[in-house]
Amino acid sequence: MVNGQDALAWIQALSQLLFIAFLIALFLGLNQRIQVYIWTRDIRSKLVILEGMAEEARRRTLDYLARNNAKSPESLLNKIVDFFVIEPVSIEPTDIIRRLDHLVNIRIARFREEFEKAMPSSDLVTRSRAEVSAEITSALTLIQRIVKHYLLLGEKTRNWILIMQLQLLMPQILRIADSYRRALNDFLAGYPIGDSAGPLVALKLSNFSSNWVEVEHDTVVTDVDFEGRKLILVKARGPASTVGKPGTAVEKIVSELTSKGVKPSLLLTIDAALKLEGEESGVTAEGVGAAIGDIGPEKIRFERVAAEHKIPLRALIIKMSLEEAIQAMNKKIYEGVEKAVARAREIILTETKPGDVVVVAGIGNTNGVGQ
Amino acid sequence: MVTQTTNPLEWLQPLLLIVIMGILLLLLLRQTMMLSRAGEAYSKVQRVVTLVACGDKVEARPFKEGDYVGRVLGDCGEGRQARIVGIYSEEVALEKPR
Repeated sequence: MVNGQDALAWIQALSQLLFIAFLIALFLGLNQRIQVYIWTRDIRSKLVILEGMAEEARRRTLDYLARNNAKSPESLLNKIVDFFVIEPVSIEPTDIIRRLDHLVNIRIARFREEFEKAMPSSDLVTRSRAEVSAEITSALTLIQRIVKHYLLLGEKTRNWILIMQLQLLMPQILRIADSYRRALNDFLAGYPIGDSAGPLVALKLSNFSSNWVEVEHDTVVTDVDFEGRKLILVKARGPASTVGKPGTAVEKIVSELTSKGVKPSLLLTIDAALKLEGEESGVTAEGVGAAIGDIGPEKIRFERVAAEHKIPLRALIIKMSLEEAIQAMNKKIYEGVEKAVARAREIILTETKPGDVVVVAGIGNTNGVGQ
Repeated sequence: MVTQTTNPLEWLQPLLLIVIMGILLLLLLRQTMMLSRAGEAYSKVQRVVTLVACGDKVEARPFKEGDYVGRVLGDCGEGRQARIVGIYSEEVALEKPR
């Protein structure tokens, strides 16, 4: 029979043995292996969520396409999901904007053509929503593929730094992916999104004018009288999901005005802008420059036309997070829109005089905001 | 005669081992629970409101399919037209299942 002293001696011997074994294992990298195992498990579980999101987006997009009698929706979606644009050569910057603009235009035309071919009986709004939902599916699929790629690469090359970085980034990646997932619902439902703040301000400044005309691809313009000034308002054509070509439209308008001997006194751009963490959503701020978040071709047009004709280029922004920008417009952003309308009027009144011409561009995706 | 004396500190080492193993087990459980909860944070419910204006009067109603800002809804009396002037979402708190 084992008495208390023997049991104690055994426990002590065992614990010392365990301690020594643990110490040796530590020098052999056991701690890292355990840590990598926990990180990998964590990434894998989140990857399952990402795959689920991509799959759900795919299913919803296919449903939407089928509901709107699209021809071979599966092959159309596969084509869009794997579509890519190769950036122009940047080590030779000469005419890079022209080349980039050309590539962007080709991409827009290709997408439009594909959807027109597949959905000939649908209207523009339905087609634009199908296009956006396919793009969201593409984004979610890409996120999931990239995460999987780095996880497998990290495991294959036993690169624990890569796995650690990926694990640390996973909450942020998941947050972005979830924003896209929720954005898909909001786009398909036709809600104005946070990024629609700019076009909504332009629409409110027009006092819901009914004489909007298309001046450029998916971009409309109207003019209204405001305290003796002529306001020329530009926005994307809604309520379809599009950003239009506001830079090209404004360039065209200013060229036409100056050819008639009229020089605008002010060029005001209004857009949604990303806030910093800790800042309030829906807060407005003003500054100088072109408030437009495109990759270059449209923004440079504002700058060029303003510099060429020496027109003051002013910017008014409505602050929001990335999630808020692509999801249904919330009350704070809507209140920010009201504040931006008041602030835009204030800027126009203080910086121009009666009889002046002012060009105002409401920048952003006009989903759910008509004219 | 040999007398056996027991040192109370002799039990400290196995006790410490048990405590450490207990803590490790708890940490492992916490990690597992965190993983299973990863997808739960992403379920908020939102209500979308449409603002309809008739002259100076603005009324809020639930969003209907086909609504968009700027849409004219028709005559609302005295020759005025009802128009959608705003659409925004509000978050609704979820009731916990009993």
